[in-house]
Amino acid sequence: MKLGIFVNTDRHLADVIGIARAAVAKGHEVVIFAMDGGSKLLPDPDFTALCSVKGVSMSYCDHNAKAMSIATEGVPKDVVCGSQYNNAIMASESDRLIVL
Amino acid sequence: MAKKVAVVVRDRQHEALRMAIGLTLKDAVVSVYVMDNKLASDENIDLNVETIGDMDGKIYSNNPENKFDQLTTEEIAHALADADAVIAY
Amino acid sequence: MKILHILNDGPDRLSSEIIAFQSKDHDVTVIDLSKQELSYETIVDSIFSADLVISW
Repeated sequence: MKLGIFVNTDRHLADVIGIARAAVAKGHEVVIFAMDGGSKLLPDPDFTALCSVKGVSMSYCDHNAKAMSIATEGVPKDVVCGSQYNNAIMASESDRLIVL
Repeated sequence: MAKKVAVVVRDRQHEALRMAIGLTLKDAVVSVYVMDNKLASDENIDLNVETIGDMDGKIYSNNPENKFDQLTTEEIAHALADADAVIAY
Repeated sequence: MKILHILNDGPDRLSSEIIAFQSKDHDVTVIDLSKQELSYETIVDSIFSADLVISW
């Protein structure tokens, strides 16, 4: 099954990582979308490293990142610089959706 | 079949409404619940409210100061249970 | 219907009210992430065994 993780704060990184890794270890697919306060996690390699975990895909709202002057130069290319459309896809296609 | 997504607006009203509009891009049926607080009024929020209506989204509130369809908190609790996904912002 | 509420930062008034109302008609479970009581494996199992998840 597919788990969507909507990340709109930077307060729960350990839970994002823990839940995402546990979900893929159990054979689930994980989709992560970051916006608003969640954009502050983009410079953190512990967060963006999730994109290299098999079964995890990631994107973020570029509008927020730019508005908040978040440094995205070091963000891996596999973390898609996206828009609210990416969140719409995640919400539409995920079997379960959590917010962290 | 279109997914029913409920957006619960607590604080950070601007971003919650912008996100709610985005959800309609993939044909979700979006219901927005403005909880407790009076929704601020500025150019962005007013435009977002209008856009949600244009996209056939519904906005409800448990605060009579908000000029949306009124529901009690209990009615909103039951409405949330009827959604396919809930995003509490 | 099985509803899982995930409390990211512990309980607050609104989440407590919604949980109380839904508990009248539904099978409601609450996980408080701030207490760090459960393994992530258990949390994932709870997420997928619920019909609906609401994070606060």
